[in-house]
Amino acid sequence: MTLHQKSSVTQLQKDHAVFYRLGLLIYRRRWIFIAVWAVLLVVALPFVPRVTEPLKIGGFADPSLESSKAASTLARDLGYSTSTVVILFQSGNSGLSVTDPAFLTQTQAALAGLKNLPIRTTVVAHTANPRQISKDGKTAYEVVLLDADAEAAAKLMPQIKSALTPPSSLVMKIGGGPAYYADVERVSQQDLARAELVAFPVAVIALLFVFGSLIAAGLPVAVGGAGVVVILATIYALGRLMDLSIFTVNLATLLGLGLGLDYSLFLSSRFREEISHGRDPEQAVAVTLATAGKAVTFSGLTVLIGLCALLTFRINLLFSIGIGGIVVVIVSVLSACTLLPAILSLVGRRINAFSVSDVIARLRHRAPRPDEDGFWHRLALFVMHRPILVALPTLAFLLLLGTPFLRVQFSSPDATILPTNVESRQVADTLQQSFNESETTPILLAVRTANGTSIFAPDNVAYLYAFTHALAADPRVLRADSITSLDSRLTLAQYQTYYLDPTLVQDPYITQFVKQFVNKDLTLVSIVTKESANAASSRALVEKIRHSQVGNGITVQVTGATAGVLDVVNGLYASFPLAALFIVLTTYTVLLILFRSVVLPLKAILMNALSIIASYGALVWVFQEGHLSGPLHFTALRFIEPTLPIIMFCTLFGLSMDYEVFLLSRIKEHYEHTGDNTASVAVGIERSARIITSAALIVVLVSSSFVTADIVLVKALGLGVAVAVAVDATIVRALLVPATMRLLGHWNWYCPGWLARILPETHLEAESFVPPTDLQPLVEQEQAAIGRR
Amino acid sequence: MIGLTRQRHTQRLVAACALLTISFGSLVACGTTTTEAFPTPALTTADTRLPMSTPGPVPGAVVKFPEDEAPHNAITEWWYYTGHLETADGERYGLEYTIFQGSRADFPLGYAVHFAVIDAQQKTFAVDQATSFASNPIFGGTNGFNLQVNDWSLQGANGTDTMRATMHDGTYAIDLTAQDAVGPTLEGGGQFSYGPGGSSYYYSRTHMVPSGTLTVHGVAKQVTGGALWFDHQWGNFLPTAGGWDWFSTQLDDNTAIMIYNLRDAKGNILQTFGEYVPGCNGTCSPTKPTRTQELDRGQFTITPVGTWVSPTTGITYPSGWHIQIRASGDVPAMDLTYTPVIPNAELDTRQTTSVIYWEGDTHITGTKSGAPITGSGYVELTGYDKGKT
Repeated sequence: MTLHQKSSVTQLQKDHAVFYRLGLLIYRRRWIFIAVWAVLLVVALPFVPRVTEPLKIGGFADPSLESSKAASTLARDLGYSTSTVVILFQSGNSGLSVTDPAFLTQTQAALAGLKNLPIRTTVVAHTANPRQISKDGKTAYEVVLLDADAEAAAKLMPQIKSALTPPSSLVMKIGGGPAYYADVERVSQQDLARAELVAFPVAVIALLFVFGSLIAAGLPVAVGGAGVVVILATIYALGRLMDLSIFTVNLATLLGLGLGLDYSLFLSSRFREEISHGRDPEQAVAVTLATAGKAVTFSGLTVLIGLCALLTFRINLLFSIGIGGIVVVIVSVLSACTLLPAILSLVGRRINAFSVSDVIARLRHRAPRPDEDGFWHRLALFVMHRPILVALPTLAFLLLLGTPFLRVQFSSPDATILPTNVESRQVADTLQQSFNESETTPILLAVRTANGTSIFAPDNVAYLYAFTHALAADPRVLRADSITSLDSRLTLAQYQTYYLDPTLVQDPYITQFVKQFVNKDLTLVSIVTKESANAASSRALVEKIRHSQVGNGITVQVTGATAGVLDVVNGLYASFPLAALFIVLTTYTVLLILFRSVVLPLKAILMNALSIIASYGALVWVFQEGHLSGPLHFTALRFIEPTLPIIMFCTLFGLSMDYEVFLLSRIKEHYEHTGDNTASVAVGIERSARIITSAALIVVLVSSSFVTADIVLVKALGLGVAVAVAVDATIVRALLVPATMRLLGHWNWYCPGWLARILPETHLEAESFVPPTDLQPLVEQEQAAIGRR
Repeated sequence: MIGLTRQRHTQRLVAACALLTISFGSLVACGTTTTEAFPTPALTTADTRLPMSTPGPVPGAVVKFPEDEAPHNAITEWWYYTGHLETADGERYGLEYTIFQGSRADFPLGYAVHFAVIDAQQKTFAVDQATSFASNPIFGGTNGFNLQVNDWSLQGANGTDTMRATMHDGTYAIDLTAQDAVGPTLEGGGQFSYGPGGSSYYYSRTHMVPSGTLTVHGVAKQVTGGALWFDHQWGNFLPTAGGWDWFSTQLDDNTAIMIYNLRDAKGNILQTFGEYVPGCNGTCSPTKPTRTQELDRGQFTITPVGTWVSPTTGITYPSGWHIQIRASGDVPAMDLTYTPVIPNAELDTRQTTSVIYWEGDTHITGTKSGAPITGSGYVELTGYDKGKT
């Protein structure tokens, strides 16, 4: 043993002593740890089915954005309700047209019960707004404005549905914001149950392949499952204390299962190794904690760094997922480092009981090979003999996978994230097909006069008239509805005259308009665009309005779907570079300390980024553009929800980095012993292959189980994570890492002397570990271990 | 050898750096900004002040027949029949049958119908109303009008009109033809102001002879006499604050008078209008405007002689009037008293046109050039429903 090796071992002992002692403690007090977890589970279980109760369905906007403020102003001062239920009536087999008296009679009878609801409702019937009648005259919808916010309105949906009387011969369907929210909640719960139902058995099968033993395979599932129960109960409790999005549950379950299984896999795997090396169960547990336990804790920290970045965003969805993710990491690490070792202490040498190894071996048709003859070793050497030839096409391929992301269109989630058999989705589809799509998603302007003067003052009317007519003249505008553009045949002089005392205007059309559009110094201007809310032309129009001045001191705030998306995307992606920089710099620093190289962390970050870019491309290709929509059972979204790439970046950066760190640790370990870059890469890849492949496979399988979700957003998240991890564990690990490691050669390990002197010494999971009280046999065991390899 | 190795190392380093650069470059996205803006309006002082008057119909435009009988693409339009019917059994019934056409922006045309009957014998009043939309309206042409609101209809061309409607509760039904006996009257020369609300085109058929059947509680009665007054008005105007008192007068000597007061929100008279129609002298035709004599503003007075309070809405209406017309030119002096056939002729049409108004049949007695004269008329009172609509 060299002096350097000896000094490393000493340092190793110090690094791992705390975890080693924790392992001993758990072994000796295993029943206490199990009892504590049992109590936790008993307390937590009743809250699991109720986890979504306190959670919010919205949360896609930032209240500090202009569009959010304008929406609040319109809701507060004009009662412009976003809680509008749409009741769609279709003639169906009755053959009635909307103008038939029987049609009206039935619609009125259907809505008659609404007056018995515990909240105030206002019905805008199709007779009051003929734009609520389809072009073919066979469909009409009534708008029910609810005096409740979106969340409360969604909770009221069962009462609203029971208050509606199904018409005798018309087809009635219920849609609109609250119905959509209620459906999202319902479908989301179904998704979760289905994903869990799929994920657990699939994970068990995967683990059986990895461990070849029912007990060993069952342990991660049990511990991962226990972790998920505690995670969901914690989210329930936090949801009572703060606003958390309902989508937190989906991500928490996905990440919780993924991490829980992965971490348990790492520890169980190590424990089996230690037992197979002849350690007694107590020592095996302690050493497992000291090595894999510490690695898992460190891994959790890297994931935590990424998720913490989500807390910097003001969009509740991101904040919620950040909080949920942090809970997941903490609980997963805790369960892996306390519950699992306690169970392992009980199981001891029976870890390999109920072996199915023979069956699996027969399935694999091959016997285990030594490190130097393994598949991954040979592949790494193959790559490293022609690094540029492999690296360039691989890089090009990954970038090609990512290119669809250049076509990304961001938009807020709407009913299209729901499956087509859900009623609120069907209503949204009918509104889109039979009515002008933009009618339901106008650009809204909150126009306020200077110094609180009445909007009806002749000068304000004149400026508003000029402005709205300029808007209406824009080629992108289909119609600009305002109190000064009721009808193009009315003159400015007429408007000025009418508004001298608008309360006395006898025309019901104007009366209704004024009632809905004006409150003292505030008025609403609603712009229906020719193209959809998500179109580039609509976004350009919002920008143009924001750069414009009405005159006379009148101010304009823009909101509506287009402005909302624009603001959210701009806001998100203005903050995102800083958040990403935080993640990258923190990760870089941690990896710099770990690898004592200025180049390797940079390369690791780049490899990670490439996996994420590929998954971004897949997201757009599949969900925005609709490829594979048949097999995956969805209709093309035509957009990507803007928070999704950020959630994925922050989640995947930690998750993928985990594998990268594990791989590079093994490479570095061998390099420190041999100084041979090429050999170290090949050996490192081979030695980490089984554990990385297994862990990645489990995450891919768990994530893929979320692709069965009906809510397309959850489906997208599942697929995105699966693609990123799969790419990372295959293309990046097998091809790009060895190629770049070979290209960089000894530069991989470059660290300026001054930096090396100030960097602290640390190690992750070591090839071998000796307890602090057992230093002398360490040397023998190290040599024996090296000899074995 | 060492040099060669170093060179290879350098080459590899350059290649690796290039890969890193390409990869990072792919992460960088570029955005574009726009400075496009709507021009800030440059308004004159005159634009920002309250206008002194509102523009009227197209200057110089005249009402043409039969073209202007047809529907127009105007914000407001109505075909308005009022008058009394005499049945074969000697009974008298007041009738209002009106179709309003509303055109607002690009909405489908909206229609509202008011159908009211006064039974002079039983002193009862019945009213019904309906609305509908038309998705494919036809404007203009020479075929007159053909309006259908659900199962109620109105057709007309060249001064011969037919109307068919049955009240939803079956109380009354009409199947009538009205024929213009004197030719159309161009009120105000065909252009009529609604003050601040805008201006309209307006012609009347002051004496239409009804025929057909009136079904009363299921019993069909032959209409053998009576007289209807028809107003057709259209334009880009909206009724605003205030209201009006409108009097149609059909004297037994086949002359007619229309008198009209437009009030502001406070009840002040904004505008008055009066027109005397001497009657057809044998040369009139249903498509040729008859001769008229517009009354000077100070030539007539309207004096309410009583009030009536609606028991259902609580609105107070004037009830009974005394109208005096000073002789001037071809217009003889007249002193006429208008007595409602029944006081309760209030129409609560908030369901269709958002207003409550009074409109009823009146008996007219008085003198014309000093000689006694009688006649029939219809009076419309709007704008008394403050705070009710």
